[in-house]
Amino acid sequence: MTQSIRLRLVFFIGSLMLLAWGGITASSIYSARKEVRELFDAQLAQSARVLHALIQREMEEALVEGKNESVIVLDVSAPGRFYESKISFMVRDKDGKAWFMSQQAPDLDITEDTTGFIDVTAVDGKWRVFIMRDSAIGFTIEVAQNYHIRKELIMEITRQVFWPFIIVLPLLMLMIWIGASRSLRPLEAIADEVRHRNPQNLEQIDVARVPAEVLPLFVSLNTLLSRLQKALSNERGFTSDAAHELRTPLAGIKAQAQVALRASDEKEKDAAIRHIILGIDNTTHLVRQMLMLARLDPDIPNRKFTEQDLMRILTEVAADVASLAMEKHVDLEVLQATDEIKIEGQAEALSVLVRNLIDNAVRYTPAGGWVKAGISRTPDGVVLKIMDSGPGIAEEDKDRVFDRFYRGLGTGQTGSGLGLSIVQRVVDLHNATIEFQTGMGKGKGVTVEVTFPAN
Amino acid sequence: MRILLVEDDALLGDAVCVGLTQAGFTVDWVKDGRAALAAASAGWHDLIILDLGLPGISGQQVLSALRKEENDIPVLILTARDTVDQRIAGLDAGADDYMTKPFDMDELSARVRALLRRRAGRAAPLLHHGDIILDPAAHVATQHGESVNLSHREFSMLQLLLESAGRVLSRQHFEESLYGWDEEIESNAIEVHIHHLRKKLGSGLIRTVRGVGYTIDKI
Repeated sequence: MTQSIRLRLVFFIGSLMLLAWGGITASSIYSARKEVRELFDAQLAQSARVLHALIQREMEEALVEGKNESVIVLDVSAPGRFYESKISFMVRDKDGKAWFMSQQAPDLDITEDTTGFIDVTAVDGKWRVFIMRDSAIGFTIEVAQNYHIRKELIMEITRQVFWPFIIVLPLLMLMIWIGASRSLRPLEAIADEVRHRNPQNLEQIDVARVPAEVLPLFVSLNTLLSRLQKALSNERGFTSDAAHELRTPLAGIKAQAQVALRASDEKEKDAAIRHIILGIDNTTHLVRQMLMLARLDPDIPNRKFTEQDLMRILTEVAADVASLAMEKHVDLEVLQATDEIKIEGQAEALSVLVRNLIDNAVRYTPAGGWVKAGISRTPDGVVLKIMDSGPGIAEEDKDRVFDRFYRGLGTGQTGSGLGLSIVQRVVDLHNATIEFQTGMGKGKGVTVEVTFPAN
Repeated sequence: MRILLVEDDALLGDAVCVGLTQAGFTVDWVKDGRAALAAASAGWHDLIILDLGLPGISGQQVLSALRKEENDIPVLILTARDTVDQRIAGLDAGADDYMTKPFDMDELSARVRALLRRRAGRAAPLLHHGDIILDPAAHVATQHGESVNLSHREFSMLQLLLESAGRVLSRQHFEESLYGWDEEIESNAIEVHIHHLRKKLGSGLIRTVRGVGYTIDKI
């Protein structure tokens, strides 16, 4: 069966109607037969009694007094009512001799002692016979009627029931088809509207005229559309932000290059060229961070999580950042856990998360300070904790640290402003939570805690 | 001519600083909006180059605050945002010119010169005074059609004097216009520059007004 609502409607209602019609027809035929039998039987009996009353005297004279011995054949076939002609009768005496009979009376083989209604089969079909005995005078009245009259009548009644259905059923189907099509027209209009949309148009579908039955579908679709729109505008926002963020370092590189061209002495020229190289390094870092952020898009499904040794990742990253820490005279320490701590995750993303956090801590901690990192198991899950003795996060920056391209004021750091956005993405990806606490002793230092859910 | 540069990006700020100095300007560089407002309210500068994307107080806010204080210093906006709407918003907020990153250093210098020229109330790019012609763009001075070799500061002093011909400029005015914050000023630096200018251009040009400063007579 096809998925068409129209076809289904027509099919189901059609079948139901046929069934109902079948039932009604069958019951009509059944009750018609019953009624017809009752009616005709009564008529037969009535006829027999009337006949008996009419001929009683005559038969008495003939049989008891022996006055008349001839057989009287009555012609009752004269055209009258349609059903009338089909009744015939015969009056016999005890020996079976016929005294009165109708012209078309069939020769029925009737046993002697039957009375009442019997069915008899003759050459011209089945007959219904009513037998009445007058035991006082000693004769029998047989009134017979051919069954085909009854059949005729039953057929007629059946036809009366049957024909309206034959005519009404297709009409009904047609009306259902038209009605269903009308109800579905809004859907066609919506399909048309959606078909002609440009791919950028993710506006909600107008559900005002949508039939209630399919409304949930459109509500879900609209939810999906709004999610898509959000994702797309996020994407656009990111692309736009990214493009603008690249302009400043590019402007710096270009201006430095022009300064180098116009430099009046070697020293000035060399400084400008070194600045150009630094600018290109910064830009490269920025681009790398942007790519990382794009790759960690939480909307990309089917990310494979495997078991990761978080301690090993932390140790590896710390080893990489160690050189920067030494250069800056910051003491970087990893507190080794006593046992293996494993979580479900993605190695590269986790490594990026740890690197960004430790790198940040080292960058923002002045010379002579320290950075400590460690992992522990708590009832809430596995906690990665990174502490530093740096200046902390200013109150006004607290809510914005995760914003893309946001850099704190007066930090003197030339980061991409994407580090913590990346961290946030990795945290989201692992269903973890992140918390910043500032104000460890004398209002200084930052403690970052990333809690991964327990397996 | 002293310019206040407001730019938070280290490399770009450095380049603009050096580039404008190469073009003969004195540049003070601040990295955020608060410092920009503080510096601008001192009134030492002839022009502000303002980046819009600043941490803390945005460039737009700095500009609005300046105009609210009725500070009419020329402001050239430097920004990464380049839609027409944003440019209109910037100009309507009181900016005099607008440049998008990345830009050309020479164009930036030229626009700065144009804004300063307008501020000094003239449209012609060259300064004429008798037989002396000053070309601020090329940083060239000629007398009787012959080039006169002037240092950056001497040139700037002459330009200041010519642009305000008829008015007496104090020693302090010269110091504020010609030296940045981080530059040491010898106590007699201005006198030395005046001495050199008189030697190169003739002693009759610049007059000393005792106890007040120096002036060039209006022709």
